[in-house]
Amino acid sequence: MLSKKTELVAAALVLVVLAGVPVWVMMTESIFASATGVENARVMTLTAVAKGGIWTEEEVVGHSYWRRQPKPTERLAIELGETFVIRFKSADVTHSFAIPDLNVGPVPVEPGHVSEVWFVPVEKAEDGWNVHVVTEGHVSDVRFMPAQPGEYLTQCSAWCGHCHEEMRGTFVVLGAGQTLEDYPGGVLPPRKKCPLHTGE
Amino acid sequence: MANTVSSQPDQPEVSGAEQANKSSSVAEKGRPPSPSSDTATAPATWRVDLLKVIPGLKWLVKRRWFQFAVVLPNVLFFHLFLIAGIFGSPVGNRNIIVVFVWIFWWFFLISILVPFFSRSWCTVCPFPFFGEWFQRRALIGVRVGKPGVGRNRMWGLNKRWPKALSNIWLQNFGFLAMCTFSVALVTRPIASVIALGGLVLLGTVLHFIYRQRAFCDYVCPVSGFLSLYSMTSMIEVRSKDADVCTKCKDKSCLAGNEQGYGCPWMMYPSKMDRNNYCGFCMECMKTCSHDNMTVRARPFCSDTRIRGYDEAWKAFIMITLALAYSTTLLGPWGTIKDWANPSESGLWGHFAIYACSLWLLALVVLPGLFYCAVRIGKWLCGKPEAKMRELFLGFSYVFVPLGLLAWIAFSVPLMFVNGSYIISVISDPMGWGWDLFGTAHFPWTPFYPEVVAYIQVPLLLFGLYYALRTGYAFAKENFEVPAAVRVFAPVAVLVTAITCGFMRLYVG
Repeated sequence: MLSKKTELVAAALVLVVLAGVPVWVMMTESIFASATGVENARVMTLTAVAKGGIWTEEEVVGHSYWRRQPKPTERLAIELGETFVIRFKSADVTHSFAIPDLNVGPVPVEPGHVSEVWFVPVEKAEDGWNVHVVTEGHVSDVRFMPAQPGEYLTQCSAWCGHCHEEMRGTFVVLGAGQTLEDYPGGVLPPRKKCPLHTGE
Repeated sequence: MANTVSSQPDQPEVSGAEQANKSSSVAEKGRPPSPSSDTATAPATWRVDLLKVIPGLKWLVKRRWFQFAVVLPNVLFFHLFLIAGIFGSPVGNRNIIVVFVWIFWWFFLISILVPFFSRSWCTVCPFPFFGEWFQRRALIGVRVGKPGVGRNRMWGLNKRWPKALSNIWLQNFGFLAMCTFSVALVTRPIASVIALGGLVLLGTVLHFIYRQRAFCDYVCPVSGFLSLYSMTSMIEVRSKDADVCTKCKDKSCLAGNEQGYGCPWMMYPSKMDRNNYCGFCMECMKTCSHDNMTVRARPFCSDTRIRGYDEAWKAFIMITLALAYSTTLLGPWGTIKDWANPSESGLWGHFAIYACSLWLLALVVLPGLFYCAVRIGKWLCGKPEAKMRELFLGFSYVFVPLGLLAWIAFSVPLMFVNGSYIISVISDPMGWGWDLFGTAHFPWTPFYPEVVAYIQVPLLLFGLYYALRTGYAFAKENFEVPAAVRVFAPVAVLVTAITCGFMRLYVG
């Protein structure tokens, strides 16, 4: 009692399930990931990781979180007139992003939620940016950030664990004609409690 | 040919009846029948033939596509869970694999499926799906011929499972090992992927090597506790009329035919008198040429005979784990929680102490206490001729209803306190910030946590009541009344003390 046609249909259904689920996941992610409300923006995704106290541009997911420490992103840069969006994710606990000297943040960074910061230039690029903090899909805060070239300290402003105070980086505001090479660093103090182990 | 089965490609053909007799002993895993197994076979209480009273159910379970239709959606979800566990958020409460498996599935399985629907989880389980597909080279249809098992054509090596392992000891140790890492399992998605994905892989490989569902029968750790607690379940698959089975010559329920496969669980359905090793696959409904198999509703705790030390130890392990989980996951002792969760705390030395204590408690201390209670009971009743083995196994059943209800009591706060995570992960299964149904930002909201204890206590008392009732019934079956009370008294004190221990944990 075996119908080849029925078996083929059943096998096809299994294949549809096996192939369909990952395809659906990728398609859905592409829809949600591109759903930022700003056009023509440079988009960067930063994930906060309490273990080691870092921000990273790498995807930190189930299989990688325990295996290795991702490569940290310690420097962010923005050019005059640039529309820049940072999407914040958390790989573990509640974090918070802030650039105190530029009056940016705090931006809540929580697992399962994507918070965004939009740096939208004001009418005259050299005047600076309006900084929109977007949480749970809504603009929750707007502040003005002047175009003052320089390198500013970024930090996690919610206690997130043993390496919280190491969770710092810099945000470079590039003036006209400047590049990152014009900022040799030195703003970021060396790590003490949680040295990096990137396996490189 | 109709009355002949080939049990293995390299073995001579034997008649269906011979095969049935052989397999009957295999099905009971080499255990001698318990002294009261005859009384257990004949139902003394009510039964309702569900295939008669539920319109369309008989038609449904007799369809060849029935099992495929119920497994496929489960394969889909399981596949999504594994993908989410690997590529989704590493945060447990933001990942569907942790939230659905360890909150929703666990609660649903232990509180609804097992007590009311026996091993119906095994009907829809995705673990053996690919292995069985390989064995049968069919998802829906049936092949007959050789080489195979019984009358069914089967692929793979079709080896017999080693006799020494034809029990649930592997499942006991496997489950205990898995549960030792429970805190990682319920908080780390990748740990769940390794455990559950590993079971799919293992199941598939074992289906290549061994015949039928040896993996489910002897290896799968989930199957182990399902087998034990399905004894309490309120439904059963049984033959309608034992005489019809006795006179039946083709034994298709065991050997298979063109309508279906011989029992994949290597049971002899017509002689089945306990739920333990029936996976509710409904093949016997299809193969029985006399339409003599059915699904019946019955009272809670209708199967009351533990038939081997492996089953007894399963009962000890399960109740110990319920106690340990209640302590580590629900209790206020952060230190124990840290010891149980080395992936977070890094306290591997302390974890070793925790793990050793857990194994010692489950495998030695509780069985030891129980042995002493039985021994004292035997001494009190003044019947030195009573056999310790029979008393030990007979009374060990008290841990089945109590253990099941203790697990349900443990699972209630999981659902009440953490159930709201289900609402958010439905909209964001990967924990990537999606919002499919507008519920992704639903906050963690405990649901009436203040009433949890009022649910847990009656559940425990209900379990204790059935423990005392079934234990005393066993005592009365074997002794006259004064002696029956005396022989059971120490065991009754022990289970009552354990229940009080649970209550202390839950209500303080």
